[in-house]
Amino acid sequence: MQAATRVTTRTASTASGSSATILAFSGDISSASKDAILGAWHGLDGQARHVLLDFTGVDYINSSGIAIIIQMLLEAGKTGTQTIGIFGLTPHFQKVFTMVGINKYAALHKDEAAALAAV
Amino acid sequence: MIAPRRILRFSLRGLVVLLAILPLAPAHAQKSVDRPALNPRNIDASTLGAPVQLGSVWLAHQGDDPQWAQPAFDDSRWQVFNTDLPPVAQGMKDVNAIWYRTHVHIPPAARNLALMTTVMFGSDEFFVNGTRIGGWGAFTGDGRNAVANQFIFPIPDSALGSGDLVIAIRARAGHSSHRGDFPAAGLSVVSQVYLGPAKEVAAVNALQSFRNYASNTTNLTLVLLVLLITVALALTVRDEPEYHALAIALACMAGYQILTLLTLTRAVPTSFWTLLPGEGISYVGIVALIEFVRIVLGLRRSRWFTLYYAALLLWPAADMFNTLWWTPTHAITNPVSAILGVFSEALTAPATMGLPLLALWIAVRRRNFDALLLSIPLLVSASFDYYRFAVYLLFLAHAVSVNAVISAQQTPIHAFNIGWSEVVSFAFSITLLVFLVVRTIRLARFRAKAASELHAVKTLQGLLLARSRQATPGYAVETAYRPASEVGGDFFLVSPGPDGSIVAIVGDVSGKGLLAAMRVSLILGALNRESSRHPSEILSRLNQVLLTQSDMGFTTACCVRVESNGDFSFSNAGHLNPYIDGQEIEAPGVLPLGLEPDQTYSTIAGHLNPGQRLVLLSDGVPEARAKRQLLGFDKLLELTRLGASEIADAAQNFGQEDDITVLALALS
Repeated sequence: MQAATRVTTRTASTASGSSATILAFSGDISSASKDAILGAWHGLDGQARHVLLDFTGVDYINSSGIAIIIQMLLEAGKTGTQTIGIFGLTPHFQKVFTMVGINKYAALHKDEAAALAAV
Repeated sequence: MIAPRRILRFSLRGLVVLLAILPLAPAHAQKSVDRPALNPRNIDASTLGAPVQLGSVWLAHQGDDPQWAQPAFDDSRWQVFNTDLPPVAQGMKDVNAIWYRTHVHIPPAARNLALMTTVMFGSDEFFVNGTRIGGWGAFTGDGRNAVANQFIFPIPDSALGSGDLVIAIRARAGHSSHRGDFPAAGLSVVSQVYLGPAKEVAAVNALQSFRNYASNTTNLTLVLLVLLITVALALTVRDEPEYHALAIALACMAGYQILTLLTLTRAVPTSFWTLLPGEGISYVGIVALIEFVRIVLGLRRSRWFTLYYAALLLWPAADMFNTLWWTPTHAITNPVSAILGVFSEALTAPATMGLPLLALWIAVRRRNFDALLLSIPLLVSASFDYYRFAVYLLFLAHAVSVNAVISAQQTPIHAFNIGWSEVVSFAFSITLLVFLVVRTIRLARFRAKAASELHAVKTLQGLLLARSRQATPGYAVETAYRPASEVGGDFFLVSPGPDGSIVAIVGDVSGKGLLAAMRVSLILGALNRESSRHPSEILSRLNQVLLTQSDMGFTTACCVRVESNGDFSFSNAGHLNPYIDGQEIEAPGVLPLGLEPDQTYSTIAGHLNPGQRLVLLSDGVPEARAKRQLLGFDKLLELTRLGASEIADAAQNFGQEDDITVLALALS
């Protein structure tokens, strides 16, 4: 039984003093998460310069969930004006994200502080 | 039987709308219930063999004085009051406190009599020749609003005297209308009072109770039956949310009918807390029913629906405000009352009268059979509203009299005391039942067809995967393929070459079910046609094939070529790396197939010694899950020392979430 995906949006100050928008995910990420994740992402409307994806509350991501994240990153890559960072992944999913090449589109960080420091 | 609660609501809402339009048409005398207009100063019941209905005309007086119960009191100056007519039309200015009296002549020797009343308003007490025989409610303060459906009171023989009876009713309602038009305390247009031998009155009472309960319990039973079937459907077809919505709507209908049944034999005070359950259930029920219709019609839940649901909250609010606070202190002809009534009708009209037409329009326009099926119970349910609306229009056009408008609110089948709402409710339940049965049959046929197609895909996938297991001279190849559902989204292929090499590939398409299975078929077809035996080339060409299917997600794959001397090379596209004797052979991360047109895949080389086992596997192994814990990559270090079937067994036993594929290859 998969847990529903929740996405909350907040902002935080980066080490350089600029503002970063954080999309915090919780629950499981699967094909059922598409509307929640892409809805939140499209809700940013390309306005946020720095976006951090927070996976701290995520237990499980299946291949369809990874496909959604990749779709999001490829969309961001097309605009070329946004920087995306990822933090809060478990070691298991850090390995999975590296395996599917996500780390070439978004830097993987251990936690929020490291992610904000890197922006 | 129209329940008292509904009578009040129908009377208020119907009459408010009527009164709002009344100035537009000539006035006519109202005569809504079939009751005799007897002379209240001298009702002759001297042949009292059966219960006598005391009629619609009484002597009445405003105020409250216990002396008015006494037979000797001189009521010759009391006005003759016709309960069919609005009190205000008869000069009654204060309907908060009223006494009614009537004079009845019975056989001098008559004994064992009883009085029976139906549908009375407020608090009431009954007297025969000054003796109180029963009543209900309170007579202190401003009184209270209540509706009492059916009561029977035995009359003590000592009160009967020599055959001349004065029957008095003391009535008090919780309002203080200065114009006093409707409703008056005590008797109303739908009240009936019977006098007769106790046994006969009891028989009338029993017959009326039977009629009341028969219609209501029949409808309740029918609604519960449809509810039971709907709940069964909702539990069986969990991915069809319309059955959940319909189950909620039907549960509310059943709840409302149970509330109605509870009001049949007792006086129900009209207060916020007694109205709230009915109003709350009505609101939830109508929203659930709209949701059910919306889902069946395939309409998106746009913001208009949300706005309408929010606006609908004003409907019970307006109803309760009108019933509890406005009408009790203002005349019902007050413009605010009229506006509230029309507002209530206008709020519910899109749901009650609009949805059936929308369903019909969608049925015709989109040739939607479900919409056509659903439009039948909806039209049946709305028929009463259309009828009332049509009568109002005819009244406005001066084509019918006020009597027709009032009759449109009343009981159509007198013999069984069944109201329009009960007839419509019964017909709605029956047609809804037919809708559910027909839809379930269609659903079962559709699912059988889908299952047959799925089986065909499974057969095709089995054939394609069987081709993947070719004889592999010089190599020991073991595969384990365990799809998580009927058909899988994993694939593998083993292809021995004429030069003694072997190419093995294991992959995984995102998603599950039929779509994933179709993609697997596409991929295996492409791989079987592939002429190259270089892993990076194979992946690049597969990437090009899958780019044309960009709306279908992505595919990960790991491709290995092993030479007969044990040298091997592999390329990876976002898939799990190969393992040799529990050691992961790492490769750089690369995007999966079908996403980037210019993606290149690096080649990693290595050597497989005799006795070593190279294992390719899908993510169903490390992501087997139990109690929200993943099997994980660390355990692969041990597991990949085992054979393919043992690895697959271990993952399955841990908790299979996804398709599991393991391919183990060794030099033989």
